[in-house]
Amino acid sequence: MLGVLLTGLLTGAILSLSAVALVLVYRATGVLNFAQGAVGMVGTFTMLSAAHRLPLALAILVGLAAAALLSLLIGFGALALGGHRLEATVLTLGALGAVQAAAQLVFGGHPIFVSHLLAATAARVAGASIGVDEAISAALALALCAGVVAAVRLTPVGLLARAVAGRPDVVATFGVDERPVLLVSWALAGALAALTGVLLLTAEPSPSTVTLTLIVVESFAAALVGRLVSLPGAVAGGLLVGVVAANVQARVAVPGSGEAAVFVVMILLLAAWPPRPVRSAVTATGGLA
Amino acid sequence: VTPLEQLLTQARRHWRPAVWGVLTLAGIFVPGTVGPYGAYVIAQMAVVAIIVLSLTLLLGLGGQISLAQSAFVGAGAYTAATLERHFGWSLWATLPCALFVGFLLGIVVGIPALRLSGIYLATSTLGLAVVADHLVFQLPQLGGLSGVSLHRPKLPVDMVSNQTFCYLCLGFLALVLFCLFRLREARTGWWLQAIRDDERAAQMAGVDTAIYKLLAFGWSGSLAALGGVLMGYLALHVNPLDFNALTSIGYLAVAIVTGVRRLSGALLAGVLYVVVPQLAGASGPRLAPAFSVVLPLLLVIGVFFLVHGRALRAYLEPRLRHGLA
Repeated sequence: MLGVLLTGLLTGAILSLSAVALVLVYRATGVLNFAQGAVGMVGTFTMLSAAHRLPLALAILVGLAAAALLSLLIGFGALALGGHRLEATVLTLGALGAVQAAAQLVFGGHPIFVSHLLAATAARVAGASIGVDEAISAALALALCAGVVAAVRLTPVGLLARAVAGRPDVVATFGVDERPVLLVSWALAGALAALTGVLLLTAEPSPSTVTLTLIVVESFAAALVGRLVSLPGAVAGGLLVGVVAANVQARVAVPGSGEAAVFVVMILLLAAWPPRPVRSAVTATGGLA
Repeated sequence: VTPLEQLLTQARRHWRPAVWGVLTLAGIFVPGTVGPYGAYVIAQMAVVAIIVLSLTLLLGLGGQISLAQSAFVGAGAYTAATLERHFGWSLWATLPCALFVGFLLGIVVGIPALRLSGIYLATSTLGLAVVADHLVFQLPQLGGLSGVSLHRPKLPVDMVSNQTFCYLCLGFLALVLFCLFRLREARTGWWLQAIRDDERAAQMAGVDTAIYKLLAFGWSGSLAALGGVLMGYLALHVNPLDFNALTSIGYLAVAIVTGVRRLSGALLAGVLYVVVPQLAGASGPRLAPAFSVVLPLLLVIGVFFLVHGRALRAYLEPRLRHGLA
C-alpha cells in the first residue's frame, strides 16, 4: 500500500515538471500547448540518439536544446496569431500531429528499450522495489520545480513574466515589449518538457513516440489542480495524478485503467470547477467558432 | 449585354446546383466503372466525409469543438462488431444500435460542454478519446489488440463486392448531406448557429442552450458512429489502432482546412484524407510515411489563413488587380 503510494509520488513528481511547463506557457500567453508532449518526446529521443556518441550529460543538453528550439518555433507561430487563443491552441494541435508524425519517421514507431541511465540498483521500501535512479529523478524534478517557482517569484525576469501574465494591458502601457518574455516562456517550457521525458525514462524504460506525446494530457490534468495558473498547484497536481494513477492501476488489473481514472477525474474537475480564462493584451475577433 | 455575358451571369447564378448535380452523377456512375479497388477508395472517402460532417454539425453549426470523434467512430464500429460476434446480427440490425450508442456517448461527452468551451472543452474531449482508446477499445472482451472481424450483409442485395458497398456508403453520405442541408435551414439549425455566434445572446432570446448543445453532441456522435459502422464493414475488420485518440486531430485538421462551416467542405475533406496517403503509397515506401506530416501541417497553415486570410487578401487583391491591368 505504502509502496504503491511511493511509486505514484515518484512518477508524479516527474510529471509535475511537465505540468509546470504547461502553466508557464498558459499563464503568459493563454495558449494551452498541446504540442508540449510531442516537443518533450523529440527532446528525449534526440537525447537517446545523441547518447550513442556523446557523454550522457552532453547528450541531455543536446536534447534540451532541441526541444527548446522546437518549442520556440511553435511559440513564434502562436505569437503570429495575436490574441486568437483558440486558434493558437488549434495550431499547437497541428504541431502535435506534425511533430509526432515526423518523429515517427526519424525514430520509428515502436517502443524502444533503454537500459537504465543512472544507477540500476533498487531499494526495497515498504514492500515495493523503488529504483534509486527513479528516486534521484523525482528529487531532481521537484528541485527544478522549486527553482522555477523561485525564479518566477524572485528574479526581475520573473517579475516581468508575472506582470505580463497578470496585466498585459498595463505592461503595454508602460511601453515594455512583452514578446521576449513570451518566447522565453515557450523555450523554457520546451526544455522542461524534454527533461520530463528524460527523467521518466527511469520510471518507464520503454518509451514510444506516442506514449511520450500523450503525456501532455496527464500534465494537463495535473496543471488543472492549480487551475492552470498556480505553479505550486501544478506541482501538487502532478503528485496527485501520480498517486491516483498508481493506486487505480494497482487495484484494477486492466492496463490503462490508471490513466483512464486520471482523465475521468480531470473531466469531472474541469466541469465542476471551470478555470477562468487569463487576460490578454489583444482582444481577438473573428476566427474559429 | 452580349450572349456570352448573359451565359456567364446564368452560370454564376446556377453553378452551385450544377456542381452538386455533377457530383451526384459522378457518384452514380463512377463506382461502377473503376473496379473493386477504386470502389474501395471511393467508399473510404465517403466514410471520412460522413465523419467530417459530424464535425461540420458540431463545430461548424454549433460552435462546439470536439476531439472525441475517434471515440464516437470507434464506438459505432465496435457496437456493430460486438453485436455481430455475439448475436450474429447483420448491418441492418447493428446500425440502429450503433447510432444509438453514438448518440448516448455524444451526450456523455457533451455534458462537460454545458460548463466548458474552447480549449477546456477540447481537452476534456481529448481526455475521453484517450480513455476510449486506451481502456475500452483494448478490452479483451472486445477482441483486444487483434480486433474483431465483420461480414457485409447479403440482403437486400449482396454487398460482398466493394462496388455495391460503395453505393451504400455514398447513399448514406447523400442522406446525411440532405439532413444537414435541411437542419441548417430549420429552426433547430438557427438556434445552434445562434449559440455558436453568441451563447449569451441566444440565452437572452429564450433558447435553452443546454438542450441544443447536448443535441448537437448526440447527433454528432451518431453521425460519427455511422461513419464507424461503415468503416468497419468496409475494412471487414475493427482494430483499436484505427481509433487512436490522435486520429481525432486528423479529422479536425481536414475539417478545418477544407472549411468546417461548409457542407461541401466535408466532401473535399474526404478526398484529401484518403488521397494524401494514397499518393504516399504511390510515391514508394521511402517517401510514404512523409505524407503523414502533410495533414497536421495543413492544419497549421489553415489556422494562419483563418486568422490572417482576410488581411492577406486585402493586401494581395489590389496588387494582383494592379498587376493584371
